[in-house]
Amino acid sequence: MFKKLNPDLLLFLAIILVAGLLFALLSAFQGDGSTVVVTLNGETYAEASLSKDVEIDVEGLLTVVIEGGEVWVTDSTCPDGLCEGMGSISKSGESIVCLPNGIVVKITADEPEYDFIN
Amino acid sequence: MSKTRRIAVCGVLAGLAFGLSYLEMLLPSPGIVGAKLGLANLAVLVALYLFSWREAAAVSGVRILLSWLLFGSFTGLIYSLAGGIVSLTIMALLKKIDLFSAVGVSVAGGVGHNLGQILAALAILGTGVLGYLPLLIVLGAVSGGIIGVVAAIIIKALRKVGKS
Amino acid sequence: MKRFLATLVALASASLLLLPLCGCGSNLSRYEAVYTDLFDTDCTFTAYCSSDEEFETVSEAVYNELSRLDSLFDIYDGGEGSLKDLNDNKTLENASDDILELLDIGVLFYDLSGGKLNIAMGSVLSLWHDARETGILPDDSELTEASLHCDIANLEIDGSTVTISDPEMTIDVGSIAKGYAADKAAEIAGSYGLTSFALDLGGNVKTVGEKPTGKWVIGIQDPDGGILKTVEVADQSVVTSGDYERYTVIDGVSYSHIIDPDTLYPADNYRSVTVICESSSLGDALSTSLFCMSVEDGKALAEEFGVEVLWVYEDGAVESNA
Repeated sequence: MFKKLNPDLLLFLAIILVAGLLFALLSAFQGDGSTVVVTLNGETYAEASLSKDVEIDVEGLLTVVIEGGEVWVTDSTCPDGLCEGMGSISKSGESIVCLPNGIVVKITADEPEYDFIN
Repeated sequence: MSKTRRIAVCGVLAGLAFGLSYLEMLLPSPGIVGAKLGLANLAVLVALYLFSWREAAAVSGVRILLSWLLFGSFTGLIYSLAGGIVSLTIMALLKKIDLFSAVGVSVAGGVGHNLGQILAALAILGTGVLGYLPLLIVLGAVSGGIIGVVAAIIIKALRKVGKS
Repeated sequence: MKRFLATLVALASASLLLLPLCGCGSNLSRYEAVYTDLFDTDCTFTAYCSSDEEFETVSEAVYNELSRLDSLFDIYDGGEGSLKDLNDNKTLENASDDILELLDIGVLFYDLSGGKLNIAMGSVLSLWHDARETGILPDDSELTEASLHCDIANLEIDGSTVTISDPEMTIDVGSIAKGYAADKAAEIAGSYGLTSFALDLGGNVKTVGEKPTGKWVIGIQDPDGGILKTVEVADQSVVTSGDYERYTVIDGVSYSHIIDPDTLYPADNYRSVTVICESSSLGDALSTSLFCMSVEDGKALAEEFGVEVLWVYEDGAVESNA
């Protein structure tokens, strides 16, 4: 039975299998390397990993919540509340904007999944 | 094969390896970091099969040094060296245990090349590059397979020529 | 050994001759600047540059250009020579080239869109602008009264003198200004020698060149979360008019900022309309026009300009003319 199988092909398949296992392992233990960047009036105010749950208070203007790989905004002091209405974001390239407060919360990566989101 | 002839063939192979790696630079990149066909490995494989790991190492070393002198940066040299050394070590060992054909050896060599580069990148850039590892392993296996098939044909042909 | 060396030398010299062709050694990094105080939206300038200094220089120039245009086109806080000046005094002498050009685009697209894009309906738009600020819907009678003063024929352009002959009429270029500004700012960035950059003026993306890794990737969002469609472009603009960009909720009903000139109410045919074409000005004007049109009429207009369009319906379905 084994004689019929080409050993080269077996080696190839084994390598692919190992790569697949590695991929599963790495994605289980590592976040996707995305960073949440909070800018206030064009200046970087804070940066945090997307994979770590944390709450960031931005000068009392609003709170950025990072939880379970999702990011959203609460407790905004802005009059329109549009930023809270934007819901949560999770992909690199996505952003939440609070114009009245001059705050942009954006998920970035070395090579973001999306350059822009319309 | 006489010693002179062997050296001459090695020289041609080293030149080929260098020419092939230059050719590859001219080809459009497939758009994935680190993804390369590794054409130069053709010549290294042929040297490994016609002669021994020593000649293969010489061919590979000359190619890497030349590429570095002509186009490379110092970090580029480190990546190439790491890839070349790991790749050749694995290929030489696999050839020795004589379980696989040139195709299998080349597959392992392609993977080894990318493993070596990732190891170098780990040292230089930190652990952030680990995410690329699975993809690079697969790419190395695929390109190694392609190169291996071509190399097997060339080796067969060259052996015929050598015998006659 | 001699032959070996000769082979190497020959190969090496041949390679040296070819060297200038490969354009190697380009080490570009991605930079990004966000401006939150322009065009009433968030503007992003993204570019691949070789140094921090290079990006900062260009980014400043881009910001200055956008800021200059924003003040010119601003109908609420613009200064002398701005469209506010025109609206207040009904005449503008020695109008700047940018204002003349933008008004020309507006007049042209009024005809092309069958009146769906009307920069002369400032009176109607300002009622909805107030509504978004106060949370109180405009009266139908107010809207009807305002709609009597939206005849673009009363906008007269003579050389560099612009006159509005209806004292109740005002100009609002909100539907085309960002597209025009993106084109102009891209010219500025290009004049600094950048070949790979993009401007995003709130749903109005203009890309120049490719990224070092390939095309620019733009996601068309599902207003209810996530991405509906991914568009990959180079040297193209991707302009989206969406009801989620600017809106207000009054008594549980969402009112967007795109007003249909025929109903005088926010257009609600689609969640968004995206136009993909080279000129950002064209894309901006078209996306607003198409937002107020049926898909059939829209497809005909899109074909006239040879542009790609994506319509997103209420239920998240996407229709394309491609």
